[in-house]
Amino acid sequence: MLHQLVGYLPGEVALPDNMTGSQFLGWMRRLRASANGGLYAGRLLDRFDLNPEAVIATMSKGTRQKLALVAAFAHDPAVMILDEPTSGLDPVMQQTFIQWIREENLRGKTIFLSTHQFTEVERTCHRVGILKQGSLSLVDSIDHLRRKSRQVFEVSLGESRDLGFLADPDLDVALVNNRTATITVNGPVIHLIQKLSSLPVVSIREITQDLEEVFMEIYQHDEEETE
Amino acid sequence: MKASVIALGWHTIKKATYGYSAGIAVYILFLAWVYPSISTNPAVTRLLSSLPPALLKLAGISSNFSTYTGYLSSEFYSVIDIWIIMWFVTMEAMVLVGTPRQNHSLQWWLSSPISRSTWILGQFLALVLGLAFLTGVTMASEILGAWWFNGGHLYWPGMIWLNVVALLIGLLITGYSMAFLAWVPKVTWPLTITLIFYAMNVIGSMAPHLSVLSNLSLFGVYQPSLIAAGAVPTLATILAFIFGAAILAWLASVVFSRQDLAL
Repeated sequence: MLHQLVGYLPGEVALPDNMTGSQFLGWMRRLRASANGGLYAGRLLDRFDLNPEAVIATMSKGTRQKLALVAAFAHDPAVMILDEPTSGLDPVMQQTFIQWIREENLRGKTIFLSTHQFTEVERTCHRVGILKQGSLSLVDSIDHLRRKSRQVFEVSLGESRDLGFLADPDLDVALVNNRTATITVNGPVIHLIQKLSSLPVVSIREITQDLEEVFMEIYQHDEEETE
Repeated sequence: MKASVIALGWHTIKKATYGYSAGIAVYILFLAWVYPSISTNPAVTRLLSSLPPALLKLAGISSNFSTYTGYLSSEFYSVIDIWIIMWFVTMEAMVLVGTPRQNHSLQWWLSSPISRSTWILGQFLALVLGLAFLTGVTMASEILGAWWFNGGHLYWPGMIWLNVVALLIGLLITGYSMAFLAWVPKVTWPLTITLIFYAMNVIGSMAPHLSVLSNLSLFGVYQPSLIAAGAVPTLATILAFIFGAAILAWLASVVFSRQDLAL
């Protein structure tokens, strides 16, 4: 059955408030009739440091989120679907969650994660899909997304020079001081190297764009195209 | 049908069921306790004979208090028992089906490998179980009251049929409550329909020229004073109630399966 293979954590966690956490997990196990549910649920409870004995209505948001995580994946499903999974979790638990997701992935599980937390995506995902206005506007690997985006370099010279003259349609130059500039390359990198060849360059450092910048760039690019 | 689905439903309503049952038991035992003094009190007989027949009929007091079962049919079965069943069934149906839909906790149960129709039929059977529990407690309390306070005098057929008919009415209310809640997760519809049926029966009982309303109401079959005196519903009536409840349960499962739910 498909339900046995899939675990789903909804974005808005609504639990049966009148039960204790233990009762809730017990009923989920009985309904799923899962042989390994108890064992794996126990491991998850330990992992997320969750005591499920309290009545759900009295639990904090973070505890409810942890209980929902345990309930959704207690049957050790092969496919996991998570919608904003770290919402309400404290930073320590967010770290625990990311570590757990990585381990589950190494165990061979397929994990779909929907989130607005870019660091979470960068640390857990291999492939990213960007949803815009309800449709999938892009699917790619994180590495490829970064390579496709504009490259940014920080260039330092051995002596003071006005680096403003480097600017042209393919190069955006932002001066940091009279020896250093941040240069964004919109075309081939060789163009920058050619321009720098006559200058006393001390160092060139590539500034890595994080996923949020890549995302914003793609979003803005899409909007410009739409206009 | 998975037993665990029914067990989950029972777990959800069991505290309320025990609460209603305790109330019924205490009330019946109290009635049984005071019965010997009421049955021998001429003032009570005079009072009853002075009241308008329509009012007595409305209150279900058309049998005299000379028998324990007749007395209970007036004092408990005529109004209180049927109101308890109406209220219990509609409210607990809401707790079982409407509330989990409203607060979205239903998605957890539906994320397990059980179909929607299995789930709602399980809730239907859990509510029928609760109804049967109430009926069992009612009968046990009446027997205990007869044995304890009235020297064991009990008209068994009357007692059994009063409870069977009340159970059948509860069964039908369960059916349409589930069907309505499978469609819209609000108690308004089942409660309104039940009250309309009840009002039809009341009006039909009070005004002879409108007795057709009683016949159209599902409460029309519930005549405690007559049942206590030995009149029992026909087999066709009993089968109609059971068949009707089964059809409504099936309808509930069809409607529920087609709803736009989270899972």
